[in-house]
Amino acid sequence: MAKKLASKILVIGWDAAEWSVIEPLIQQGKMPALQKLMSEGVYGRLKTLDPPLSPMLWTSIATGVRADKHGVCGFVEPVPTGEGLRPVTSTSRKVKAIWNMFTQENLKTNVVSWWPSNPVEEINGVMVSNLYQVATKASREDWKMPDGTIHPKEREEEMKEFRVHPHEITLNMVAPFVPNIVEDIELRKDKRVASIIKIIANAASVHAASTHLMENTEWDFMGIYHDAIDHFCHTAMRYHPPLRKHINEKEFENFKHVVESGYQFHDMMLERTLELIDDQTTVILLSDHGFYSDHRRPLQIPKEPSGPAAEHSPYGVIVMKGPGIKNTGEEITGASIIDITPTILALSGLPLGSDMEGKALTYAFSEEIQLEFIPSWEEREGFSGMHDKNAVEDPWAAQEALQQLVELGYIDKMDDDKLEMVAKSKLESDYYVARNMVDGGRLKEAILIFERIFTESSVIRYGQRLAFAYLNLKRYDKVGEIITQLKELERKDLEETKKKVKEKNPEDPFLNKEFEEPNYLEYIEGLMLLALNKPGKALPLLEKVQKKNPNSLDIALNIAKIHKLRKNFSKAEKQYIKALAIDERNSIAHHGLGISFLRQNKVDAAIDEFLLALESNFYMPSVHYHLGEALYKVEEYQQAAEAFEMAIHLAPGMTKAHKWLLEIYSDKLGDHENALRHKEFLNNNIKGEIIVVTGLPKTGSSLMMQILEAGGTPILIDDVELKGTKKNKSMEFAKVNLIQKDTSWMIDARGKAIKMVVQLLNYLPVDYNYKVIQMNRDISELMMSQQVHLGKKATPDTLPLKLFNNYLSQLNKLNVWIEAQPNVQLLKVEFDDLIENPTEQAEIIADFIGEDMDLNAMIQVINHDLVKVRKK
Amino acid sequence: MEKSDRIVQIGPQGSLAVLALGSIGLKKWREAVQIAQEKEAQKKTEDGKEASK
Repeated sequence: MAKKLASKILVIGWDAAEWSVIEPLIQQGKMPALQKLMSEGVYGRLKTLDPPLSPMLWTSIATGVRADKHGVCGFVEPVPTGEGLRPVTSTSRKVKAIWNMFTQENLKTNVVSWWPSNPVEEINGVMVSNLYQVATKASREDWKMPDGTIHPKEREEEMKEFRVHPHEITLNMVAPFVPNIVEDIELRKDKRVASIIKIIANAASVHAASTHLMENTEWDFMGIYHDAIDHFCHTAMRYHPPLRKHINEKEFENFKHVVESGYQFHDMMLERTLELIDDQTTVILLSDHGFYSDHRRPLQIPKEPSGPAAEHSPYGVIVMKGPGIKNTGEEITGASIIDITPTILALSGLPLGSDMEGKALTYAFSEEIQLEFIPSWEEREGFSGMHDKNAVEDPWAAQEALQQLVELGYIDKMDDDKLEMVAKSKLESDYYVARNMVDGGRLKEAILIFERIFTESSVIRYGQRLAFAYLNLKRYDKVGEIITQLKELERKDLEETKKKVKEKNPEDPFLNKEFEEPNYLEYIEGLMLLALNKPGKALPLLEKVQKKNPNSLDIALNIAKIHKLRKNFSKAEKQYIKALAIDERNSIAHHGLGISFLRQNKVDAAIDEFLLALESNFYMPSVHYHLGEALYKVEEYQQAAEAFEMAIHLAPGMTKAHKWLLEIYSDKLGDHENALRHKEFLNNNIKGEIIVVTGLPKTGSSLMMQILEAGGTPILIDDVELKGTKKNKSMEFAKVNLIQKDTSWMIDARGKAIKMVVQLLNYLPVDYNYKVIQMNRDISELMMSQQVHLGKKATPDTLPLKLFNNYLSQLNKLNVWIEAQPNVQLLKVEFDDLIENPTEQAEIIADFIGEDMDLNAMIQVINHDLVKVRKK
Repeated sequence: MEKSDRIVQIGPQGSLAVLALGSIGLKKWREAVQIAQEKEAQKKTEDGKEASK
């Protein structure tokens, strides 16, 4: 058994808790209990999963896996009759939760109100379901406890008493949230006030039940879940200060305290909860996602299922304190909600499932421990208290089976409207699963789902996600197809809206509205152009989209990337600053801003930005690398060496960092032992980096070799004696074609460019790093050029189809091969772009090579070639 | 004096602090409410008796 660091673990869930609300409250001393917890443990941001839907997320938190594995795929599931929907239940969960694992290990566990936990499971302890606190009757006397709310059943009567009915909530209890309620009698009838009263009552019920169990039961693990912060925020975050232009001032005055008081109420409850634990208990307080509280608050909630999730921000909170956790009060980075179950298991000395998708947050532990793994908790024998898998049906599968029985005539036809509602929810549930897969990097699996649901439904949102997934997989032809389909759907949508408007008012000016390409399509097109190395064409599109979406982080980052690529660092700087105004802790923006400063020689500012990037995400090797570069510039050689060492620690193959370290240790620090270490590494482990220019015949690879040579990159071609001959003109090195048999010549190719046909690339040995420049040209144009070269007649109609397909297949194979090579970086260059935009392309090539290159000389070579092309 | 007793006694009647005490606060508060209601009922009865005299 692995070492046990914590003997008791208490997990407190605050749905939607967000640092941007908490931080000012802590500064004002308004959340003393949380402040104490943070100062005696560790705290940090906790990354959510996409889509940020709470039942999916809390189940990932409790299981360590994503929705496609755990089975809770949204807010609803079909009712057992198949004719309608109900809130998602615990029977949808297909895998063991942390309380099942503890039960299996014969450890005592209490769970209160986890979402979803109804019906309760027969765990080794007490389980109170998430329907416990929901008042179903107008009076407390009539409010019965439904079956499946409490385990064990004999505790029902006892637990019933701790439910607080909304009618018990007094004016004094609501006053901290809505102070004007004391004087303003009309305000008491406002439905937002009714919501606030319910939320207070629900929170009080959960808190009373959990404190009662803490006082009266023994437990090794206890999980308490509060949804109140999320609900207060959905009700009133729009009134949270500062007042925004479109918010009514009177309403602002009435409801501006709701969010703040909600957090303070939670801090008060936390204080009591912490009074009930001993010093042997490790506390983990967390939220599943955050909640935008500033200028990023959406102006409108999208009118679509789960639309309110647009208010959720991607980072929640985590605070850990107690045995096994560092007591330094330091901030931790890089934690995700998927890491919680592995962390609890590791703290408890229990094995982690190898099938879990997260990691144990061992960097927050007070000591190093050896983790133990088992293949899966699902295969571990023993009573876990989980619902009997054989007795529990997948509700969606059950609904489909019922529908089949209807079609066969075995049971009566179901209500069409209800069935349609179920069918739509099923698509929506699949959509969430696919988004969850994209979030986990499983693009190919997600695409299969997006393709199916988009084909079945033509729902535009599904098509949008499909287009982005194709884009990320570099399947640009498919992106183009989807863009065309989406445009068509948008056109139809407009026509249908016009029809409806016309029926009401034939003179409505809306009927004159012309079709305008929606913003998101321009965004996708812009991103595609950027991915295809056409930043010049991408920039105006993205800038246009940014005007309409000034608060989009991704747009700002992409525009900044273009400026950085084109070495326009002052413009890049502005966009990164814009990105940081949207998300002040974004590590990519801090890194980019740092590079922009560094290249403009504002070295101190650059260092600040790199340090801020590392504060948000320490595990970015390229940030450590650039920090090293900046520190070198200010002659802080020892610190620069430390930064480069960290870059190598995180990314051992980073050749450039080894080179810097060799120079610093030998020339600046006189540390010959360390210098030797890096010299040996460079000589042995990584033999070097080779630039490989490739492409199908006649795609301009010789031209690319000439461009590189002009830019200052050494090239490896056959003997100079061949200068001026046909062979030399084609910039070839004969031994390259024998690579299958002999690679000894490659040692001489280090740091140089070579030319190689596509078909030979997969013979490149793994002990070198490669930068591959792939030349592309329109294939039909290319083949015509080849046919002419061979003295054959060439028109678009006479091209040999077989050869055409063969070329396509070779290019596809190349792409598949390159994707699987960790030591290969790829740059695709279009021949036409090279001729049309020589300056831009020269900049892109220089950026890819990563050295200072003579851009003018490179452009001159291209222009010279252009003259030849035009002459032809 | 227990913290819950103190809050019920010194805080405004039915304040949020009572709920924040959890089970013990709830019990004490409900007891206090019941006592107050009984007192009020008793007062009403007495007032009624007075009035009928």
